[in-house]
Amino acid sequence: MNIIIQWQKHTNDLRQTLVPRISYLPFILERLHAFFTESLIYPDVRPHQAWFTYENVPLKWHYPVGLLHDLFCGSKLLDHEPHAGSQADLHVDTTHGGDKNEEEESERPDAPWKLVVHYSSFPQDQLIPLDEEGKTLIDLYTNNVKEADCVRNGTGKEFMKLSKDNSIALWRAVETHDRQLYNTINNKLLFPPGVTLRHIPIKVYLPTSSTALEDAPDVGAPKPGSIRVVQTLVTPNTPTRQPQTLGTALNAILPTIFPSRRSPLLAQPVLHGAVAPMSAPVKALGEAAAYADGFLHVVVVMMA
Amino acid sequence: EALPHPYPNSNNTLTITYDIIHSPSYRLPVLYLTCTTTANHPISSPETLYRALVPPSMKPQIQAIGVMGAVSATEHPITGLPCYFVHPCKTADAMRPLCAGGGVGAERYVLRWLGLVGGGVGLNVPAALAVDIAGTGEV
Repeated sequence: MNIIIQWQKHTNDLRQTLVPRISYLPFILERLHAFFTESLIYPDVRPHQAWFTYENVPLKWHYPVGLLHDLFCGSKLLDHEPHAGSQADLHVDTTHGGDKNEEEESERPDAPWKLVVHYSSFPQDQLIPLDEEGKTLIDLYTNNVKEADCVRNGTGKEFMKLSKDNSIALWRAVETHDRQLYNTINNKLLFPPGVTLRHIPIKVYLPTSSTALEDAPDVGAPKPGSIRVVQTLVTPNTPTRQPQTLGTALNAILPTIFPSRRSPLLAQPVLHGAVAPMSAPVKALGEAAAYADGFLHVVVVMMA
Repeated sequence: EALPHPYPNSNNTLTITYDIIHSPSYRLPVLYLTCTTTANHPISSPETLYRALVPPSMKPQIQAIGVMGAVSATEHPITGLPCYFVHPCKTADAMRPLCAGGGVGAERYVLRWLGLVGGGVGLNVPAALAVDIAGTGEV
């Protein structure tokens, strides 16, 4: 699934580009910089010094674009009829404000997603700085791939076995959205011969409202209104040797928020812009629906 | 614990907060470093961190991604803010001979782990603490 990015310099100068949900915001920085270069207040600013906000919240560029959209717009899915193959548009706009029609439009889950791109005052206390060569982004991505590999087989050795050419090619496949090249290499990590799958790489993102804090640790918990990342080991089968589903996993990880293993009662899991079924086996999800770094990034959206 | 450390070639003080957090993925302790200068600006790159922290004798090991792994940028697992961590990918292999023979409790494991991982990034266990733990027997 893809997200359409739309940006404009003036009301009658609107452009669009397609960004896969599984890619990363820095991939569009060069194009954006070229587009806005004449309008920049500080003409010497480099593309990697740009940063994005949504409703004044700086966006973590090392999160996949689809995850960011689910985090900030996931609640809109619950307010509207779900429809298959929904896309979401990211509208990048350096102007402020908007008329009432735009506000109503923006409540739909597939509406253009308005982001603001900034070219000054990079918030180094909240966002990891990018470097010009893009090494930090590759480093962060690679660390996630290694971690997912270690979660799957307990050793992380399958990633270590990848040749240098293959690990470079894996990143290039993500950068260029080359699904075939990506799958060729990623399948070595997903299906190594003779290696048992121990756990499914999954990260659950929890908004820290007052109800969610019941499951949060006391020490160092992020303040309400921010996002907590919950990560525990999820086995492909339950202790009773049944296939582990998203529902049984969430019930084990967050029992207060998912008291039922089958039905979402208080919250829904959102993945790739859609409400994920509680009955989905996590093993199959891990193989078919993981992001480019190998993780299932599941956002918990509280029901009204 | 925050340890003030003189920032090279400037009058700023570098403050580093070390957190040891158990990683559910690696099932190992992982060392996180959150760094700010007195002007409250975070460190901008791992290279700056290396210059400030890593003893010259350790630099080739750290940079060659040796037994202690590499220092990389990441987001803190609890605060979500930018920080650095010592990658644990080779920690298990390195710790195995240090724990050979079994009977290594949690405190001794962390002590040996700190000796392996912490020394390379300026985190040294005070001698008095080490003696104290060694004297209490297994935990």
